[in-house]
Amino acid sequence: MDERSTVDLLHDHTASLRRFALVLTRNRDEAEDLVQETLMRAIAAADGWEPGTDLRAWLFKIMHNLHLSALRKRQVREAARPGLPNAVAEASQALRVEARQALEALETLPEAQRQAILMVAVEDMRYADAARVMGVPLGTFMSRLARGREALRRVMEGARLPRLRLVGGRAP
Amino acid sequence: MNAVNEAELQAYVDGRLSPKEAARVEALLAVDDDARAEVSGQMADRTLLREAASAMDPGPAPAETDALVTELARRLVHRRAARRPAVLARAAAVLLVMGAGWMAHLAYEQASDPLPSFVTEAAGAHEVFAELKDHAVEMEGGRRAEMAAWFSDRLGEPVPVPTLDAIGIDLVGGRLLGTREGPLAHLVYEDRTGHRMTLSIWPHSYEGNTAPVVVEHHGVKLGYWSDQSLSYVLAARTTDLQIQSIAAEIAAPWRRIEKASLPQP
Repeated sequence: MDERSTVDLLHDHTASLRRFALVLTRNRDEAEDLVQETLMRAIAAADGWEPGTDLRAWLFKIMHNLHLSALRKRQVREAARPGLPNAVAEASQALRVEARQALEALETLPEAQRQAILMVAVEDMRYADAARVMGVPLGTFMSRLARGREALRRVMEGARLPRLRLVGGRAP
Repeated sequence: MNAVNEAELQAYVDGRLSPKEAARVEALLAVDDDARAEVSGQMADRTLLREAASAMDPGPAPAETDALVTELARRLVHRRAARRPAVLARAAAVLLVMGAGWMAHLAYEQASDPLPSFVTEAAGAHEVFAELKDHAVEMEGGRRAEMAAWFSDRLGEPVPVPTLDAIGIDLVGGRLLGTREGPLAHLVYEDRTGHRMTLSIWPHSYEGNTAPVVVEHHGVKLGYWSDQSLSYVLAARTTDLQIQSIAAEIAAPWRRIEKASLPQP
């Protein structure tokens, strides 16, 4: 693999990092900062990357750690919780109501479950890679994913009820 | 074994099971209304999230981000060049592609039951290398750690080199083969009476964790299974029971997926 194809590969990975960062931070500026900081860390740590291992998972792991420490420091998540701020809110205007509900339901989950679901369902990351990104054993990761999806399901079921009532015109 | 574990169920939701595994999950779901409703709900949620995320467009990357990407590529390429393996080893692997591929092709054509192609590749490799007394291996069994590092580097996944001393089977050594399935780690073992057994290991791209299956192919018993990242094929002229117990000995430490909480029908 030469420098040219590595650049192409990295552009693909960066596109998925940027989308993931946007969903994680729900803020365009913060997302871009997070991606740039991730790339800078990766440059500094390039000698630590094992050739033949998944480059994308390695980048995601760096981003995951940066994001967690940022959360701890500034408690961004708590500040961001009430209502969906800019990026997510503006993008979700264009969505079908069900897709918007799914995104909002995901917001109510604990960070670890939310991220597990996103890596697998949206980024198509392999379970073993996603577990490595989160730094947990595979079994723990699979439980986290299963718990997260169950929780998401319960929120989605709750979200559907008011609409059903409206359709019928009378509360059950 | 008819329970579905949590990990399998998630792999089903994500469409990552082999057709055979998926059919088994579906058969169990068919008789469990609650579980079926839960699973189809989770699949619908997954589709909605993908739809929502694809609408989440971060726009074109700013110039600073692009510059960082270019710099990272440069660093990674330079790092990689420093660690490039010896040309000789690669040339040997290329030569062997033809040999192993040809054997596997023959074996496949003759099989009455079509087997997964990695299993026929392994059967071919066993036939070619197991009984060679002088050139069966490229690296001797005494260099296990070195061999594991070599295989892991070439296969791109951590590859175990299991020891079977506990059941009286010695590691003769290993070699790397090129196949249509990609590079394969091939280990040769020998018991106290000189019977040879081979273990072939590959990385796979599906979500694994399948229990050992034993088949017979031209008088050779083949036991194959997978864990999360690797597929294994054990080959020997022996009994089903023997293959199963050796497979269990090898597979045990790598099979740690938790049992499920899915309500049983």
